[in-house]
Amino acid sequence: MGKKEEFLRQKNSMQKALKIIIAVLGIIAVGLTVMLFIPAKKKKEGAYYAAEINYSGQEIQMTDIPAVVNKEGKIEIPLEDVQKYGIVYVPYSPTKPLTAFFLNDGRLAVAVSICEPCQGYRFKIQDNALVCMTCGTRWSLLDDLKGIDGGCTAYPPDEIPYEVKDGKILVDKNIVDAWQPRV
Amino acid sequence: MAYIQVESVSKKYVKGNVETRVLKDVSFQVGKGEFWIVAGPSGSGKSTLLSILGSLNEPDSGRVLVDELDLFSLSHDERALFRLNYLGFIFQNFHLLPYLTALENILLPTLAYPHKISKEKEARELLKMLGLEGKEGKYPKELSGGEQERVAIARALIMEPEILLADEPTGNLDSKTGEEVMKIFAELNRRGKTIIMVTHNLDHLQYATHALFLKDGEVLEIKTLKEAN
Repeated sequence: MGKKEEFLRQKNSMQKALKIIIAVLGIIAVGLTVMLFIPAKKKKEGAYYAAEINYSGQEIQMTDIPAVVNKEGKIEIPLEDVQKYGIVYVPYSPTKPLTAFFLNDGRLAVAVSICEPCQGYRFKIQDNALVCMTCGTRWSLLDDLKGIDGGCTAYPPDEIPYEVKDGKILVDKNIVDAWQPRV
Repeated sequence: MAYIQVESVSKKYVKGNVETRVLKDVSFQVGKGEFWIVAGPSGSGKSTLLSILGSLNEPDSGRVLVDELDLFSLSHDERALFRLNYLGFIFQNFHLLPYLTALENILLPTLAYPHKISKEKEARELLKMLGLEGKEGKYPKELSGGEQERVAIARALIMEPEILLADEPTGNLDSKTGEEVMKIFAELNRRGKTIIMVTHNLDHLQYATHALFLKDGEVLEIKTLKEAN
């Protein structure tokens, strides 16, 4: 092979290698940009977080626990009961029961236990979804109770504020008392 | 078409407010297998011209084509590849690495090759051809000036370049050793190498096919001394 052919061959293979390097660097740069500019899912302010959970293949029925109101006017729900049972039903009042459960990202949700359009009061967890036992509507536990399917997807159980103190979930009874159905 | 084509090459250096035009519109053509001597007084632009021919230094204007390749349209990496394939450089001060033996110095350019190559056999043959048999394990400080120059020539030849660029290769040698080195260049030219050599010593013209005289960065004269082999 002549010098020129050898040189041109090496030049072409160098250009090819350079293109591959540029492509790889480009992919890395895009990856880094995506990582930098698409932040991890934000945690909800004021919420309590436990470890992430995967409910795939599981079906968890609600467990009833008694409603206790303390001297400060807070409804108390033992955190360990929610951790033990998965989803609890707290009959604070016949028209405004509460429920508490964990979403897949570990966030504790406390809500009025009503599917407002169908007036269903009881729910279960099934395959990473919260399911209304009355109408079968499913909301995603992977995606902040976003509706998956069913007739009432726009109305997941209405979450209410809480705080966790000394192993107890504390909900202000005044908020629950003032709560009104959205439909 | 000429093997090396230098077209209207100009180059200036700027130091502070002072601008020095070291090459002014230099043009000439070198055929394959020719032996050119570039002569001229100090500061005439000889070494700058040689570094431009070696693609080490970029002209301000003009172009240089070697084997129809326009050197300064190549990227820096491509130029490095060009030098590795086409050129052998020989300098006045040898530029041998003091901590490497003669053999290791000769093999140094093979390390820059894009893929691993073994040239030890060729390096030993070059040592033999240049009368350095038995000196392969010697360090530069253990060699005479003439021997060091011959190691530098062997290093320039290891990648089998088509063109040898030599800048005052006999400048640091006594006249007898200088003559021996010139005979080596003449032999390399006879074997087909194209040689461009910068020198002050006009006695060396006897070995060349062409002479280019520079003065103040301009071509004063181009002489054909004899036909190339």
